[in-house]
Amino acid sequence: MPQPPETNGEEKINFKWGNKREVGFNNKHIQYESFTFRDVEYFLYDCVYFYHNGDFETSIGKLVEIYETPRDEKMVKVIWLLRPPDIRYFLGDYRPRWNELFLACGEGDGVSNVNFLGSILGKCNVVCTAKDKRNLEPSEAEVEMADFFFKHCFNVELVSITDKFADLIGGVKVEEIFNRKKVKISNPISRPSIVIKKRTDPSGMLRHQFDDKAEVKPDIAIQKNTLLNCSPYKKRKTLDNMQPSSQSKESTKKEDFDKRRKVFHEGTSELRLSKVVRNCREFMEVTGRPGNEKRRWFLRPNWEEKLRNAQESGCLILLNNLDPSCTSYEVEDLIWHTLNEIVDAKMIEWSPTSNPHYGRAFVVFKKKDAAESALSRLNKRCLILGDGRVVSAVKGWVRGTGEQTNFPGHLVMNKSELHKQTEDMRNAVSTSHCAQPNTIEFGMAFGWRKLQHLSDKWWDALYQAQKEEINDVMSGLTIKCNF
Amino acid sequence: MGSTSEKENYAAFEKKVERTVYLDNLAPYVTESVLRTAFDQFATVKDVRLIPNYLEPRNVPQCALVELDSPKKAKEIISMIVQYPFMISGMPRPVRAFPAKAEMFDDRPKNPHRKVTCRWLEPGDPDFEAAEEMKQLTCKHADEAVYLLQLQLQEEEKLAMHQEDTLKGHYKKYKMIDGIMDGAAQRLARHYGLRENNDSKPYFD
Repeated sequence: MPQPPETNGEEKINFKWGNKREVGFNNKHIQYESFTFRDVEYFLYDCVYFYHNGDFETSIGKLVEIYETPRDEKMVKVIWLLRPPDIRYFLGDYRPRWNELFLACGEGDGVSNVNFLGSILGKCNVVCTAKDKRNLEPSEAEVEMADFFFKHCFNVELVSITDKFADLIGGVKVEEIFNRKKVKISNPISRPSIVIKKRTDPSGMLRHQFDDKAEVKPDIAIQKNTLLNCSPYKKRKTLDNMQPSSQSKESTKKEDFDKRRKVFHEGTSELRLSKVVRNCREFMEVTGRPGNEKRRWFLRPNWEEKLRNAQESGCLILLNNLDPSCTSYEVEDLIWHTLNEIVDAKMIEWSPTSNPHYGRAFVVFKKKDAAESALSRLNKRCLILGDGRVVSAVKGWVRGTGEQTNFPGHLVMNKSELHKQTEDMRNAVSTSHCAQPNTIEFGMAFGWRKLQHLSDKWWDALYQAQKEEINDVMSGLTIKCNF
Repeated sequence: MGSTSEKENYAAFEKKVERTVYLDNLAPYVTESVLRTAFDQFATVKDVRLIPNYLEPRNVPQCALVELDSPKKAKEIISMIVQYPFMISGMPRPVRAFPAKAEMFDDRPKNPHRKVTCRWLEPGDPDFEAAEEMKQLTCKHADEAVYLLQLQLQEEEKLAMHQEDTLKGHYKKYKMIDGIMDGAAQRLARHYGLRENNDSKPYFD
């Protein structure tokens, strides 16, 4: 859940409710149609940017409920418009445009949730270009003007992209989500990119911008062509050269997006590095990686292919001596925290024949360089966990492909020669069954049982011996560990 | 923060673990649907997943998790498989069943009660040597496990070969008896004036 954003004393946020809609029966929520926040008027079904602490990217959602709780909390319910990176595992062959979004639909996490009104950054102009009877088709100019468009849904249940829009999405009629007349006049001056800038721009530009916007506000109704020459716009442009102009081409917009993201990236990593260095003699708690919530929304797809590709491109590392109860997410957080790399991790499932002391994980880095530098850092220095484990890293590998046909322990008889077999006997082999004590099979099965039992014994013996060795070395550590 | 939902999530996951059975010694050609039919005889199967093995050689048996409708059913099935050798997709190597553990699920949620802490040790730190030693020990232990696994596979291969020989012996015997039943037994029956019956099993009045 997002935290209510901190308000510092200097910045007085002006806020005003618009028209009241109704008061909820059960929850006593007072529902509103609109509100004015930081001099921008928001209406129901507007698209807005959100920023959640720690995320790299802003999130975009459609306001479907605006209300105040009896405890004076101002809340908004949103249906998310997912960015392609959020669902990158499930895109398949689909190549989204950089400014394409996907409307979340279906039942489950990731469709909609309730946020603090204060985490709204600004308005976002999103048009729906879906070819659907219920959708008011946008004009070319509108598409040109829009920051983003969407024409597909992303079903969170089936984790797949679809161009079919259900009648109800997140409890809201789809007509409300499609383009409506009101969307058309959505104020082009309150272009959201400006508002976002505020978060990454530490200079005093922010207040100017808001002043600026307040000036512009009466001109909402200005037509597009006159807007291009209107003076407040120019003024803003001179204030901040990095600002994308609203009539700029897609490419420059994209560059700016990338730049902004980068600035943000660097900012956070510096912050984290300094934290790690400062507290060198103490154990640091591993904090969650940005974008934490979104990671958990959807299940991970096929790892086999991913691991194989990573191995070929040299991006795969195998970590050993983790806590076996560690989760994949915790490994990702650990790598982010210690090496400042965003990785995908997969804990290797523990089995009764693996050593109960060791947890292993595959880590897939984005680039070969990143993987190599991580490997050398983990090998030259030692990363020690709170329970005294020292993480070891080796280059990862995956076993070869190829089907294996015969399996030791499954015997095949040529039964057709034994014509005395009845129908039942022939079928008996193909179904799963318990062996009956009066068969040869039963006797042989006990041969296997004996071997399985023996193998348990030898694994136990090995792990017992290994445990003693581990304890020996552990006792040599002087730092306090809760091992 | 969403810690309450995190806790709920984890509690639900723990319940799921309780009603899940872990199977190993499965043949490589066993599929999810085979497992589903195999256990549908005893309980309602809610979910089946094969645990992919990316590290060990191809001839290592597969493992799988089978989620049933209740922890009681899971216990029953485990005790049944322990008692009677259970065959899936071939014989005579029986599968093994264990109660599942949280660490067997790769998508397990984070335990909300646990915090991970860490720090870097630089060369020159009083603990650096011990830590280095531990890293080496980890590698050595991993190698030992690989070697032992190899030995185990050899043992399994040996047993399979031995059993195949035994089976061939039995098979030959049966074939011989079969041959006798077809020709010689009937001739003898006629010679001694005995009645034959249809499934060519001679018996006496």
